[in-house]
Amino acid sequence: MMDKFIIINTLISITVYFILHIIILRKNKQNEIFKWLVYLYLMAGFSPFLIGWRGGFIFGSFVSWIFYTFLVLIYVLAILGVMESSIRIRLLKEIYDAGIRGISLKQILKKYNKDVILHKRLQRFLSAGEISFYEGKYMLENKFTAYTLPDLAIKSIWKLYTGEKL
Amino acid sequence: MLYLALNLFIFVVCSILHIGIHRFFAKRGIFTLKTAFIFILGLIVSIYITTSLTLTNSMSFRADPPAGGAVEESSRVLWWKISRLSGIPPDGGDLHSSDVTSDSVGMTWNVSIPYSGIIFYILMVGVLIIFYTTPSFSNISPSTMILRLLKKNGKMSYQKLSGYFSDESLINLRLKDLHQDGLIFLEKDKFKVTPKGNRIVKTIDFYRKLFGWSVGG
Repeated sequence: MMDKFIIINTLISITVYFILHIIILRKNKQNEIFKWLVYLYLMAGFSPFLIGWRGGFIFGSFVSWIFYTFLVLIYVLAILGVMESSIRIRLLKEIYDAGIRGISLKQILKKYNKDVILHKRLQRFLSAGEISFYEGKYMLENKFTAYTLPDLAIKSIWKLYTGEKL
Repeated sequence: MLYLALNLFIFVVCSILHIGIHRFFAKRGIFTLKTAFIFILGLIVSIYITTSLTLTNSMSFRADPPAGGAVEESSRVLWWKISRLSGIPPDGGDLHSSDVTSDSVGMTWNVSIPYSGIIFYILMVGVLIIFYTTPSFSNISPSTMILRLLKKNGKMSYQKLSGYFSDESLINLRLKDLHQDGLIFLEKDKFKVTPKGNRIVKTIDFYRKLFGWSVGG
């Protein structure tokens, strides 16, 4: 019985997340995506507890919330991250847009190069308030950024698997 | 709670085995995702133990009510609460509101959740695989690199930052990857998309249209 409650509650939470995701992120700029992802996670994260509180299933709600967090993490890292910031996907799109005539490396680099990549990322960080730009120089706003935890996780896992620092 | 702890334990054991297998192959210069099949084995073990425990629990309850009483009682109370919420009378109808105290279920940690345990295992493996594959597939992402450089050097101008990147490392290596993955091919110095690459771009286009977004990267 509690199993069903947890599974249904998780599905409701992730559905709320996706509905809010489509509605809110359609209206907001792409380079503000970082902060909106956090807001979305927190907004939809309430739903497991709202349903559980009414019925008194606090433990079930807590487990649902853990599952919901895992699902959001998998979605953001494996799907959204790849769609939004993957260089490979952008290159694939450039080649696809060229059609049957194809595109040379020189033509690709005219449209998409290291400057485009860096400017886009710096702009994204500036909009999210992760970094600031003062007197022609970029600097970190906080030591702890949205990248800190995933970066730490990747570094730790890499160290465990290879015994080397990433 | 028992099932969550059990699956966490299976996950930790499988992860340790996976690290061992990865290192064994890495020493021989082999890097393959096939090593992650150890987690499928873990899933089979998890399903087997969970099913056995669930069966044992239900049989011991039938034979000796006090033995499985706590779990079964929780289920009865839960069903009563859900029935009350949904307005549907509970089966049997022998449980009264006086049987249910405010903390009898809500804060109970020993409720039986076998299938949630298996889902917990699958989600943990999913997240681990993502973190495991990220550095090996994409080297270090430029975003991570920018943040690391700013953390290490403090203030940096654009010129100084861009000196750490090159078109070779950002573009050419990824084009090679796309070629190796069979998503693009080279014909008379021109890159073209394969049917497999075509399908991926169309899926991504659909996703972007859903959000009304322009091209990423």
